[in-house]
Amino acid sequence: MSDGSSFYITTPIFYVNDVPHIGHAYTEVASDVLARWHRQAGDPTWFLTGTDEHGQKILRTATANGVTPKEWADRLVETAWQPLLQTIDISNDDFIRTTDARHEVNVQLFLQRLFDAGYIYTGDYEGAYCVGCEEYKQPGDLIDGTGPYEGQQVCAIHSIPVELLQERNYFFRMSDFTQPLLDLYESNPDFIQPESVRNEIIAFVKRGLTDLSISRQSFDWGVKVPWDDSHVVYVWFDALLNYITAAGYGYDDEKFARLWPATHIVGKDIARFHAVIWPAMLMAAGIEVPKQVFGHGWLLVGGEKMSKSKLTGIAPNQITDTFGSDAFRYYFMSAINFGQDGSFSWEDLSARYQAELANGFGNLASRVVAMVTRYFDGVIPDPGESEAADERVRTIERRVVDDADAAIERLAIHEALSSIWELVDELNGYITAQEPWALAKKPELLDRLQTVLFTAVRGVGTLAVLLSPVIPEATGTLWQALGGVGEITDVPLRTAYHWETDGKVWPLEPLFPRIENIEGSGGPAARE
Amino acid sequence: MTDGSPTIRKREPSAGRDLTYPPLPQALTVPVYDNHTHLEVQDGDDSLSYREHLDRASSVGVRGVVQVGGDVETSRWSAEQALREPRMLAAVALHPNEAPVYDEAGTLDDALAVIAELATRPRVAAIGETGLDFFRTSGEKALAAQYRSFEAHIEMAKENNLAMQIHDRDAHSEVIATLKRVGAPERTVFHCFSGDAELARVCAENGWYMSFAGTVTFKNADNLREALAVAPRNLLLVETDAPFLTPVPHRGRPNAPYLIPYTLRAMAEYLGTDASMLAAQITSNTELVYGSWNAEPVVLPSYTD
Repeated sequence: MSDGSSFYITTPIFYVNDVPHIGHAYTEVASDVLARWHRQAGDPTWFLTGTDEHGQKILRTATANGVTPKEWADRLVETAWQPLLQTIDISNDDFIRTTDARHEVNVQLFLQRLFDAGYIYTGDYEGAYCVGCEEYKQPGDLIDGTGPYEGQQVCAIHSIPVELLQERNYFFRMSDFTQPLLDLYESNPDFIQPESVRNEIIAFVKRGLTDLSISRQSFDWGVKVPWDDSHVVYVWFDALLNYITAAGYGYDDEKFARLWPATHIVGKDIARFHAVIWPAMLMAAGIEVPKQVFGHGWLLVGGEKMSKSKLTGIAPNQITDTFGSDAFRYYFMSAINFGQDGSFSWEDLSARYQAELANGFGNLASRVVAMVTRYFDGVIPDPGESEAADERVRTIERRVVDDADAAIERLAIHEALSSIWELVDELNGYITAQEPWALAKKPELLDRLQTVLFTAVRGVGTLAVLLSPVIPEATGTLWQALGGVGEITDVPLRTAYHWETDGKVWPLEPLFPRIENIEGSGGPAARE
Repeated sequence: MTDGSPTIRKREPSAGRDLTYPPLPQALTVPVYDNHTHLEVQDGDDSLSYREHLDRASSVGVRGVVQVGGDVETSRWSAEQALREPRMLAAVALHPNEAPVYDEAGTLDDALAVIAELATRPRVAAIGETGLDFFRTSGEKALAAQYRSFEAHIEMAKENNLAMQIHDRDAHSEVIATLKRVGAPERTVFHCFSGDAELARVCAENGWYMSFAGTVTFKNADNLREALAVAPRNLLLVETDAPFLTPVPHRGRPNAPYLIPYTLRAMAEYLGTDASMLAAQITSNTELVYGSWNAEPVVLPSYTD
């Protein structure tokens, strides 16, 4: 988006009854890095996240806890979801809840428009209903009964026979959109990414779409169907609409025109809802389809088989308490190719923290600041004549800015980081080769020492700017130490190398301190 | 019993045991909690106070414990020590083998009333251990008392929104039937999980937690390891049940929370996973079940030796 057009990015809205875990945090961090990057590059940026709060289960847990479903959701948003965003330093511009009036009212508006346009019809829904669960069960949820229920299908949870129930439902004519969707995927190959997810979805749609039941009568914690308030809107239909109701659909046309269409970051398991149902709904309503649906991979625990290892039930603070939020963000963005499944382990996290953040980047910043302090009293020296090595640093500095930006454009966050790390490695190599500590011993080489430290400071500042979307805390600290002018987040990212300093550096504590119990030799966790 | 007395019970001696505490294991990188321990019971040659137990535990990456009572006296002790010790939360209950004893004495209702009051106190995070034990209890009257006590405890857990720790010995199907009949508390833990893969599947379907003790390291415990393999990771917990059930390689010697790394590492090894990631998972689970150990402040002065 180097053209300065708007960048509207979303995460899925999280089911409010879930417990936040590393998987949620991963999606949030990736979206946040993209949002911060675009924001700092000067693109008008809007980053939306939120919670999905309707449905039978929420009603049931709320009742069990003696509160209304809205009070229950309020509690979870406050005690679980907002704290998650703080734990991992998320910079969302908006937080939509499906119980917001702006959402509920405009879901109804959307539905009414679809109804008026003839895309909704009345039909009968037949399914196996479990009174214990109070919901329709899929065939896979049923098992063969035993004992008194021999020969009947029973609910796997309650072990009681299910009833075949029929209810009047409203259906969305999704089947009308089989061909228009295939045309969309064909004409806009980037609409679904990565390629593996795209292929899977095309194959699915090619088999033909069926109409979608979009209302339920069996419970009432949801958005009421506008022309028939004995029905509530199917939760997925309701949830998907958050992306437009948050953006002004139905109540702020100017805002909606400015923000829409969005880039949706989702886990690949729900890519189908976003790349099939959602664009079909939008087409039916005459609204532009999303800019892109990107299905990222799963986190796997190191060394385990695929089938067993979708194990992300770990609370993010288990990691941030020890390593900090920057390390969490950096690790998951650099260690895993965004879009593919990625394996992670505590040992890998520890090793990369030490090698890349502490020894690679943090140590570089500390050394450069310390040398300017020692040799020039903290005043960043003016450069003398450049040599080839200095030019090489400057060339790489410019190139990695372009490379990283191009990678972010492709949502290849890991590639952006590996480009930026070329500059980390280059600067570390440059300092080793130039040996400023040796130059400092020879007064006749003062000019050379000035050039080397000037070049190094410029490079470190460029790194700070480039890394600020990924590790905002450490780069904010470094920015202070470099005497950076203004807020680091205001420095235009695509010309990071033009960053400005007031000319003086300040002492810098280690950005990524040593973690004592990393090798399992120390005492309890650092938090104690 | 008050003033933070170090222990109030002594384990029955049995012949031929090595009564010295094992040495400290290598510390865990990622800390865990011992979600079921009895620090009121003195065992071994050296008497350790709960503070010494917890200091040893801290030094090897065991962040805290749930101290579990089994009768009126030990439940009171647990609730009180939790009020002076930040690394301890309490569970209170009448053990299924104690319920018939109270019943016989005609004091079961009084004892249940004491537990019900303790359940409302700060830093009491669970009702437990309660459940059914057909190994040590038999006879119609005794079993009736056991059922009555179990159901009363389930109600207390639900009323106070507390977790519940279940003692299930040779009574799997009756425990499940009771939970289904009266409705299980939202956070239900099978303490010292003793079932097979089939029971693990039932727990998984119902969202019940499975807490593995040192028994999972025992040579003859293949059924437990099979259960461990099918248990969803987000339902796993780990415990010592100290001073009992010391994990291999120190089986038979006195158990203590600081020995939990053996159990955790054995579980990780059996699952073919990284011990640190398993620990992070289990710690997340533990805090979901009992809340944060810092959620409610300690209010009593700490015990001094």
